[in-house]
Amino acid sequence: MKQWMYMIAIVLVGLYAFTVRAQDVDNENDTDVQQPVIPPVLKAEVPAEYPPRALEDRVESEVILEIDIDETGMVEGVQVVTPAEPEGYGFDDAAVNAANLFEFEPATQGGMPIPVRITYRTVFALADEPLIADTDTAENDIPAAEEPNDGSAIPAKRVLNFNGTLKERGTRFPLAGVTVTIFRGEGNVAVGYEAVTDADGAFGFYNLAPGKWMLLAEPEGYFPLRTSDEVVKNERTEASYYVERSDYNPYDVVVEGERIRKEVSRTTLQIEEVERIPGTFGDVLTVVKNLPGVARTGAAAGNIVVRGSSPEDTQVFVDGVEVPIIYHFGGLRSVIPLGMLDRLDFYPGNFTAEFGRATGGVVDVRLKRLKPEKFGGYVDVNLADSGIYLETPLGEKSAVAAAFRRSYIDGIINAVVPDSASVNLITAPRYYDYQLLGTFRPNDNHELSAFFFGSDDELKLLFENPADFSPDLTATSGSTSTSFYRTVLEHRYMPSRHFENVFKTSAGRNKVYVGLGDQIFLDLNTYVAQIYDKFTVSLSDNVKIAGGIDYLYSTADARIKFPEVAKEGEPGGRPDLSTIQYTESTDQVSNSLGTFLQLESKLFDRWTVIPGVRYDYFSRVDTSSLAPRFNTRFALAEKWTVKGGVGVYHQEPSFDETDEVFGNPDLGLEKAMHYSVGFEYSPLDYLTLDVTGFYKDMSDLVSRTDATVNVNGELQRLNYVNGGQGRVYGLEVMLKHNFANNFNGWISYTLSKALRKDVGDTEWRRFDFDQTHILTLLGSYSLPKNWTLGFRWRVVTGSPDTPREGAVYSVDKGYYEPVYGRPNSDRLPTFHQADVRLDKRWVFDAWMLTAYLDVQNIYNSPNVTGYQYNYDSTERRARQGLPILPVIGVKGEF
Amino acid sequence: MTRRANLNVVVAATVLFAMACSEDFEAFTDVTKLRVLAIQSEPAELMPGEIGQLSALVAADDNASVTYQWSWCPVATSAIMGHECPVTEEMLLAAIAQNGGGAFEIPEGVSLFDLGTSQTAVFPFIIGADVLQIACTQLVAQAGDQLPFLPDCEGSLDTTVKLVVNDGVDEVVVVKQLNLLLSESLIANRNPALGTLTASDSEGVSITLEEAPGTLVSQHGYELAVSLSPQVSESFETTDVETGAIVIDRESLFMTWFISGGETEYGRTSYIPGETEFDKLRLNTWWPPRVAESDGTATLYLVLQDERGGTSWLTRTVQLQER
Repeated sequence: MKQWMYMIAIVLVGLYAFTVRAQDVDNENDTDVQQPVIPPVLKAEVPAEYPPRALEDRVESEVILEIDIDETGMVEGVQVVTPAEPEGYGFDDAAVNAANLFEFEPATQGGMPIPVRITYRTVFALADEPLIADTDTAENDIPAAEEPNDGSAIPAKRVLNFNGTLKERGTRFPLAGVTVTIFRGEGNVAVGYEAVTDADGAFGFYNLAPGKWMLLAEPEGYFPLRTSDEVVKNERTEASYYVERSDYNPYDVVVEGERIRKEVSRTTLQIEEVERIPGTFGDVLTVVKNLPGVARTGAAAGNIVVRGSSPEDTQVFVDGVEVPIIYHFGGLRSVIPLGMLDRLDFYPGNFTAEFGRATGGVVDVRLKRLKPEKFGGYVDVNLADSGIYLETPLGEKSAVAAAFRRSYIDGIINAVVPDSASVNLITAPRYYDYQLLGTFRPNDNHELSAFFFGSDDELKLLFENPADFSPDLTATSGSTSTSFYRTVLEHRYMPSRHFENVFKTSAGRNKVYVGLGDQIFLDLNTYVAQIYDKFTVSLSDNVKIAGGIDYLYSTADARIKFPEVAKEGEPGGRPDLSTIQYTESTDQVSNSLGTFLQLESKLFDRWTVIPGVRYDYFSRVDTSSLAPRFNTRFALAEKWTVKGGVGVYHQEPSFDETDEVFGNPDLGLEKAMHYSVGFEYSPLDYLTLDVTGFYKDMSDLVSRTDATVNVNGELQRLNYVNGGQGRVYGLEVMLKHNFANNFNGWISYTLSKALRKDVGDTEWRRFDFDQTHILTLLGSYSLPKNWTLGFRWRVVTGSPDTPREGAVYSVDKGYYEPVYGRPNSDRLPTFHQADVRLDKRWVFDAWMLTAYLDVQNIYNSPNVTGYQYNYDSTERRARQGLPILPVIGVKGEF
Repeated sequence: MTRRANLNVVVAATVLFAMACSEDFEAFTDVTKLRVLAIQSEPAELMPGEIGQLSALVAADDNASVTYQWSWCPVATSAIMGHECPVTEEMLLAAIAQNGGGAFEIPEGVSLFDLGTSQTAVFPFIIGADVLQIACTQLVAQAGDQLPFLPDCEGSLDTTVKLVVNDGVDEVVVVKQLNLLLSESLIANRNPALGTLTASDSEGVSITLEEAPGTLVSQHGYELAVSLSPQVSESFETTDVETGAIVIDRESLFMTWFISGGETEYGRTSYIPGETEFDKLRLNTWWPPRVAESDGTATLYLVLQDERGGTSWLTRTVQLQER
């Protein structure tokens, strides 16, 4: 007779408590955010042998164990936490012996298996009749409550007649490890059972008597679930329960794991914390402008001006891949939606050797490492555009996400602009972007991902009477279109925690057209390819070597017929169409090869030293560069860190500056030396103060010249030489309050001076965006009932301005040409503006709806963005920025 | 490319320049103070040995005492340098002397750069083309870095005429490009000819506006029409900037409708061959000002220009009456 004919109600009561046994997450890995731990699942349960003497004496008991489970799901050790009573029957040994033979699906964190310790209860209960095993194998994995043991006989057959799932309301995320209690009756007749939800949020109860049962679940951080359900005889009750989180502020689901800081200056923004910053419309790249070291630019200007460097001196990467544009129409919206992003790293200077081809800063937008637990996404609708984002798992090893966004500003403008207007918008500003991201993790050592993304902007105009715009305008139409696409393939190889290699290759096309009929145009069609590989070898816990290559190839067809374009330090205004020149090229190949090597070592457990070197070759100027860089950090005390860095940085002139017609093909690289020193202080877990002083010395800057050169006996303009100089110094302060006490925000302050000296000049002048003081206060407060209130207040020294000292009427051109004073010798008034944002989230069972009101410039500050002059520059009036501007939007997530 | 091109800003600036400003300011075509509305050289381009008659269309208060100062610069000047001439008379003479042009002598009483203080001026193209070519080459070689634009020393030399006008209150500085043709094979541009100007009201009543003032009704919309022949848009040889080839092109024309009061539908109209209709150039609508807002008269200044410096104008003053 089989032994279990006598008994055995050994029931897995639960993985009701588990801990991450060895917090072995590599903080230096890119998996910097500690994800929630998914508990292990028992896949091979071995019944404990009922001790014979206990069986004979008909004694029942239970034993509570702690089981250590390794990364493979195997049991590493079992300890008795609460021994059986009465003692001496051998219950403890029986429970331990059985548990040692269990097999689990390992616990995971961020998709990676991890070792955990669980608490496990083994119940020894007697049955009067032998049990017949549940034949419904599909339910065998469901942890079920102990069977009725209220003195009645154990039924002959275990019948799962109550089957439920517990999910988070709104997101439908399964809630694992939650104790669910089902009960009925009161006092002496009360009866109740418990079950613990598994990784899918599933739970079950066996052999519940028919009738009404009360159900209770109280997961931490959620409103309690109290409900009732009916059990009908010979039927299985199936139900889904949605539990509402006490607060849907996104921050409370993000556990921020601080990566080892290698740079002197790096700010990481998690996507969740930027979504509700007022005035940014959740656009992560716009949020960068609120960080220390970043100058204020126009409301819709896409320029990122970092530490007194020109916008083109700062590189923006999407997951390490260079993209031609980051904003639609130069600043309206960024081309990658939030749903695709994980975080943004911003380096205002002294970035490590991994990054190159920039003398200013680096913005590195990191894509989400896709691992959705369910099909989900969002639909975002606002006044400018609408977008949709969808993601879904494809089995256990793969996942895919897709997004699309399109503007409808064209529809609005066309509806507003009267038919009698002198400009007809054939295609008003229209943009769309699209993304497709897929990941595949065949095993723990390999991760493959593919990302296809692109963007398309277009604007077409018809002029009813071109002369009304400008007498020298002979075109009756104008248009701009910018489109690009990229395919990025990535392979991440992690054979052990001591080695990691990331290989990426990308290919795509950039297409830019800007033109006014045949009068002026720029038509660029470029195919680009990039190969990137980075390896990291951990020689020990404190020493790491990282290196890699970064190769960029492009072949371009170009037709350019354009006038002279104003450069930094030169007054803008009306382009002089009499300076139009033309150039044409096909299959113009350009290569850029970068390699880097750096050592990351930690000495005496508190001193981090990062020496590195980068070598670059630029075929367009046929020049190579060697750039040594050094960063260091020293932990003075638990809460204090001092830091410093010095490095050399190079970049190519822009393509027009090296063009034979428009520029000077003999130009060389621009160079910058970065120096910075500072400290960090963390008085509280959620509060950090970062103070950094910096100095940047720029040389060989491309500067316009009237100098001539004899080419084959013909005198030609050099146009540009590497004769400019730059000097920037200042102090950056960042006081950041991470999400705690329902609040998140920061105070950022920059004190700086940015100067330039153009070729031939003897005096320094102000840089275009030299802003002495830049103060930003912003925050977001979570209110009850899923309301969130955000604010932002900025005070910034006015940007430099070049005054007009008069005007000369050019009768041939038909307009007055301004006569300018010394470049940037004047300043605009101080800028100050407050923005607020109110969000309300409604949570439904399977989806959530968020509506927001974002009010920019709430006290209608009359900020001056520049001056506009009358026709002969004898009068000027301030051109004001945005007035008070309320914007509403809704976002549905599921 | 490691840098992003922001050249679309240029187009945006061009397109938006007129849209963005002037709404709050007096219109460019409203003549309410001392203005120089045009300068004409007759002939429009000078062949060697020719004498150019320079005149200006100046709008000034009747009682104002206006002074004139004409000057000339042998190269094109630029706004960035305040339209100051980068070449001095000494530099020019030295350039001539160094290249065997010593035979050239400045006639007595003639200043190379100073063209006088009369209402009109005379520009004598008295330097021989061959001498000027050599001098031009020498200037470029010696002072090319100081010149805002490198001149064409073999074909059409762009020089600058500058006029400073002062009425005791305002001073206006005006420049005009004057092309000196250094090759006999080139065909000089001619100033466009303006015909008669008529004003038609909504009832079809048409008035030819003569030099003797006619009468128009204030704030009444008049369709203005200038009689112009399409032949005003001359054909000319030019170098195609894209191909470098010599091509035959037709001139674009634009008309500026300056007014002393009232409003016009367009401030400027243009004819762009192949792009716009010729009638677009010569038609406009004018709503003359109220009598109380003027001295009982209003003046129209029509300036017609081609793209090669050819200019002509027509001025008509009308008596105003209220409806």
